[in-house]
Amino acid sequence: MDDVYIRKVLNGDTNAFRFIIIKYKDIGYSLAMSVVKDEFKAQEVLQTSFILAFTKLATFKGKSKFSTWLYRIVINEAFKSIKKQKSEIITFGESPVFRTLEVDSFSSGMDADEQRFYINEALKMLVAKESLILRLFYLEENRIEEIAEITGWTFSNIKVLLYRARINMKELLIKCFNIDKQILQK
Amino acid sequence: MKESETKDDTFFREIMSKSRLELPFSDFEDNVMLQIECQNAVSKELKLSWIFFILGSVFGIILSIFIAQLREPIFGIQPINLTLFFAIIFASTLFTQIDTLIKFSRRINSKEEYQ
Repeated sequence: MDDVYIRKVLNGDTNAFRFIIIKYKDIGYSLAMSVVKDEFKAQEVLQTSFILAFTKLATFKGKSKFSTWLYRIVINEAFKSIKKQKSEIITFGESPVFRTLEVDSFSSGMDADEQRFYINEALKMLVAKESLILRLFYLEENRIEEIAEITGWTFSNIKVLLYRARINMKELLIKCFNIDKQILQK
Repeated sequence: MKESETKDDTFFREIMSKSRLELPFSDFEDNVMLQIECQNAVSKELKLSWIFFILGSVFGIILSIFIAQLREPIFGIQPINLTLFFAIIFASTLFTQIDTLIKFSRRINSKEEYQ
């Protein structure tokens, strides 16, 4: 389906690019948020990435999936953005949000929106690469090879990152947010 | 070990399915499309600017050769003075325009690179 719209854009139908934006904006936003941790910066990154994808669309040869190519642009732009601003990424255990969340009573159970909120808060507290790898591997269900293609990281690096990400995420959810597996699986 | 990995995977698949975010800006695609259209328009104008610059330069060179071959005064101005006057005007226009065009092209290309 993407191919049809890509061809249309390349043939001069600029408006066909709107379909690509609508299709990929949410996942692109999730990936950008994993890295930049701020919704306005993530929106900026995503905007820049889509414009870049449009201008460089002719260079997309179709060797990989279009989504892989686009995610690579989003991730590169996101890392470029945090490098540019030299912003400090919040590491877990240091955030004021973290302290306020600790006192909440999760044991009483949570609805889906609450779960979504705290899972995303936990992802915000993880370092950029760890939250990114969790989203790529578990949310987007990309294989290690695809993640390597998207990020440019080596297989072993990805496996180590994934292992660390799982441990840190679990620690955040279970120890710090006091969420246990049973509650999450409700 | 393998079993615990599978349990872990199931657990993470379950919680990560709840981590999908929705872009909270409803006018996002309109903004992006607007910027793309602006960029397209600017790129077209830039191309046209270069085409007319080259055409103008060629015309100016031909005209300066033609003026240099004149033998009779025009409106009482000697051909040598006319050639000199035209050469100065032509050279100054050429250099200022090429400078502006190069700067503008660079700005557009760097924008395309980072946007």
